[in-house]
Amino acid sequence: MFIVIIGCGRTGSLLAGNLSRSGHEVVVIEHDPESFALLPVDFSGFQIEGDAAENDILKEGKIESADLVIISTGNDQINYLVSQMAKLNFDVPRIMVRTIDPAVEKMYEKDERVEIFSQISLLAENMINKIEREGMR
Amino acid sequence: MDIILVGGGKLIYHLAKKLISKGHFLTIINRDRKQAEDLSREINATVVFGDATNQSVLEDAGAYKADNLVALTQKDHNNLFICKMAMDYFGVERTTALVNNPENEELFSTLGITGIFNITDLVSSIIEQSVVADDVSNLTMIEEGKLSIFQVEVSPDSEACGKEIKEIDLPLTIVLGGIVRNGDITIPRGGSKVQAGDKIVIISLPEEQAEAIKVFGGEE
Repeated sequence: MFIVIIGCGRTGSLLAGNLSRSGHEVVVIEHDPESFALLPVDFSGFQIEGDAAENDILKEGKIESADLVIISTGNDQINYLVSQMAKLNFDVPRIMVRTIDPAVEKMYEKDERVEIFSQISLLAENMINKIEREGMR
Repeated sequence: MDIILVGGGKLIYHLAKKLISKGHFLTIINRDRKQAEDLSREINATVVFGDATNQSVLEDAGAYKADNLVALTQKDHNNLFICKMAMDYFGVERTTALVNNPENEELFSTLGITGIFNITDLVSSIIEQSVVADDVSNLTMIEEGKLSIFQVEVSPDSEACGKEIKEIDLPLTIVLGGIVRNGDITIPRGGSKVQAGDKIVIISLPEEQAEAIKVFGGEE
């Protein structure tokens, strides 16, 4: 699969490293060049330095031919704008977005092509599941 | 109308004063404490200190009863997000956003934002025209620059000088709105004669502006 990842922070770099290791073609777009240092040494994909909220930068990352775009910057507002650009300007078939403030989740409700991953909701869910499972013991 | 303005600086200050003088009820959201304090002192409006991308701040500002929300920050992602939140979470019917990157204009309108101000394009096209020709002045633009009304001074060596309107070869889509001569305005008819020094008020599409300027202003 050809995957474009927006944001190379702790989440983005971890995803990029693991996905490229398992054989996917990966491009990472990040505006702060220092963040590329977070990528593992065996990362074999491409790095593009630039603002993902600009069409030209997304084009440079060949986003129009991506099978999947993962948007994982630390800013909900940027993530929303870029998700809509990926969908409407480049017709990306599948978009995964990291959300930070749980209040933002509802914003994507009607977006069929966009799947959201809320770190807070996931964390809470995981903990609750574990507590309930252990409660059964 | 109940209007929420998001942003700061001179733009918000002057816009707020105008809207208040026309009888609208305003709430301003600003995330800089000092600016919010200054605004609340200077302007007769409710000022909310906080980040408008935060749902609870919008709620505090009374978004559920607002008729219009206007997002005028320097960041397109914030303007889009605030407008979307106002529409989807609070049912605000009209939203207006400043677009800083001209490329975003189409995206914003596809996403349902009703008023879009592509400030970079507007300002650059106005500056461009004033740089290109001194004797042309832009009076106004309609629908964010899709139609322009401007004024050209007739130059003695232009094609139009000394002719009647009906003799001048103009595209049909260029409309003449008035002839200003020595401070008096006449409405142009087919038989009106154009003289050097007249100022012609022209309504046209931006792409035909150059043609109109050439006919009346003469060529460089």
